Amino acid sequence: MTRRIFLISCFAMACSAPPVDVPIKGPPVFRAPPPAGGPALFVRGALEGDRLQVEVFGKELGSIIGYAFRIALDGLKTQPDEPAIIDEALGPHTSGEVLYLGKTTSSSLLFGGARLGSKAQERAIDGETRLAHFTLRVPAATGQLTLVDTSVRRLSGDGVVISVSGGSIGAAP
Amino acid sequence: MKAMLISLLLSSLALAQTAPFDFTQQDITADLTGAQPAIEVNLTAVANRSIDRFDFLIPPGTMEGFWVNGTQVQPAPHPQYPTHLWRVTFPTMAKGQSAEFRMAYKGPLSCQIPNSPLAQCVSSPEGTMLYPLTYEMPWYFQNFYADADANLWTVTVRVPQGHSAIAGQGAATVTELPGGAQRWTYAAHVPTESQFIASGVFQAVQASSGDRTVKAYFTPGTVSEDRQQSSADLALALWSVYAPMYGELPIAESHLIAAPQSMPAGGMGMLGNVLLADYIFFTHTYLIDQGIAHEMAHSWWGNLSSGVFDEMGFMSEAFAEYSGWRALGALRGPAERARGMRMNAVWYMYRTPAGQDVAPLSADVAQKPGFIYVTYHKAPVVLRMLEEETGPAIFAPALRALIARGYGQTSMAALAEEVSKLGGPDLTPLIDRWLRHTGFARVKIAPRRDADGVKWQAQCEGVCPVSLPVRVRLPSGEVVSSKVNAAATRSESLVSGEQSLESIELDPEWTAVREVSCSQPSDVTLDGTIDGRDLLEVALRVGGALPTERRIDGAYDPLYDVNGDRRIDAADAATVLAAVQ
Repeated sequence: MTRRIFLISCFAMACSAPPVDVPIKGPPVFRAPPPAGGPALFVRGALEGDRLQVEVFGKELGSIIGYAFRIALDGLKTQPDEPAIIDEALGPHTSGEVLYLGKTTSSSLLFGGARLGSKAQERAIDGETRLAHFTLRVPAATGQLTLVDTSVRRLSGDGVVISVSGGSIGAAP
Repeated sequence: MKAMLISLLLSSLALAQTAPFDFTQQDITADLTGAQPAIEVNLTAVANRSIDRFDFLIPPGTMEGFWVNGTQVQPAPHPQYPTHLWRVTFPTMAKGQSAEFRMAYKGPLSCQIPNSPLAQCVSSPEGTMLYPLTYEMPWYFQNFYADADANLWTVTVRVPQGHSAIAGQGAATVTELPGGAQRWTYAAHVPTESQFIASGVFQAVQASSGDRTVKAYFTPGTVSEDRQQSSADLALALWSVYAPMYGELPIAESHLIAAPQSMPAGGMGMLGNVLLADYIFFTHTYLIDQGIAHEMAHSWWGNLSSGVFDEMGFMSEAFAEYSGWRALGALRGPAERARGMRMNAVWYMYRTPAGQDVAPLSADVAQKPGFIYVTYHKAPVVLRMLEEETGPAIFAPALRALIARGYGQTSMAALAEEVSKLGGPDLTPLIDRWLRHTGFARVKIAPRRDADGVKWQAQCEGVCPVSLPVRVRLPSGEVVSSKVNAAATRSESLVSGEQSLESIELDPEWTAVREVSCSQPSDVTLDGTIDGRDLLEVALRVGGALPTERRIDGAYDPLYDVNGDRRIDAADAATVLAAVQ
């Protein structure tokens, strides 16, 4: 079905240049593509006025010792009065076997979680698992949120190749 | 190994001169069926010069007689070394004249090494172990001559019913004797200077593949059958790796023997024979794999080939250790080899007692307290570095050519020659820098990021300059390899043009005796930022610690010991967290 629709539209547009940005007409909305198949880090968000609630998820990572990523912001601002929260996806930090990293600057948020060494062993993250959540301020009608400096590692030291997707704010179509 | 003894005993003599005799054949007979062992040694030798005396190591039993060309002679204490050597004199032999020496002695054998729990032999109704010379032993009694010379030989052992005898190169010919006794006869396929006898009641397992068989012998009831079999299987697998690496052995049967813990070395290797002290199979099991790999490598390094006089210990031990981890890596993957190299480098760098470091190729290294540290631990990693510098396509055939030079003919200069002949680089400067001097390289990296990517300022202290591999892991899973040179003068280079990368590792396979540190200690990914990726790298290594015992892999890498307390633990991870930018 998808392919057919594409073909039809291609005929209709005579396969000309790609569509240009349309002027912003409606209220801004947050868009985040659904995660690709396989291991992935991705975000979901909900825009409420000038506040964007963001959740970062991992899925199908398998048994891992930890992960790290940075959320780079463009046109979005962190909320000094609402600290980012890292979910204890690798086990409670009180166990002494896990350390979590959450650090917010004006233009990015750093996250990480690591089980400490072979004694702590790996922890499986298979289904969609929330890794962190936070609130951003949306000062303008557009903005972008990108996952960068990512790393997901197994106890063997091998890196897990993941697909990564962020999100953006723009006008509703 | 005998030459090492000579260097200990006779260091004041002019040893480089030609040995007085060329040993051509030796026939050893041991009768172990009586209350006491009876041993007879017949040696055929050709005088290399006009000579009227023959020196030999004092045997541990009661001398029954010594004969020269059929005439009994009376040994007398050596004038200079009366506690270690005896001397017989006889009418002058001309150069080229052949002589027959015969010695007979019997038990009881005095095996215990004074003031030591170790014994140079074992003699009991349950079994007899006659070891070859080791570096630590003051004397020995089988190949008992004061001069070293490889020779062909036979060893014939008569054992009581139910006993087995292992004595050397390949399979035995076993003859049934009246009363249930047996005669086990072994013959040398290639000349060696070391022989041994291990006899007793053993529990034996074997592993075979194609034309190769490994028989493993253990004292009954001491080692689980699973461990016996896995040890034999590993020996066979290693043999199968070594054969194409270094050449086929002239035997079809190899032996692995668990020797009593009083053996004066943890392990010994003699052309297809591996003796490991039995405690290795009970309490020091981390030594099983590396011990078998190291000792089996002596078949090529120490038996089929060995070093010139000044480099005999080096060419045997450093190359056996290098080869052991090379073979284990071939079997199990490069991480296993890197583990061994790291273990050795770390032990040398941080556990050599102050003031005991010595150049591995210094003439009197075997007499220095730092001998073990530099020969078994520093030198194999230096050989790994030479391989890295040369490239395996040239280094591997160069090593085969080196082995082909044979007994008493190998040296590091010869290795450099072989590499050069094959079109490789001139290794002489590296050999001089790393093996004729003490120390190691301390490489400090000052990374920074800019629009071009990640740049390093690298600086080296100690043994410098040094060229080290760099491995950049990208989020895509791609690994980009390059090299960086670190010299005494700081220099900057672009390490990666990528803005997004997972980690940068400097010499991850430990191809050099080096310490890597970062200008910002928490930036263990060496990428100019401190973040969760650094936390992950430290977390991966939590549990590592600088070992206090030799040959234990503490998984210790100083780069990740962020707080420098010789342990990689939660405190290091917490230090990284605190430093996150």
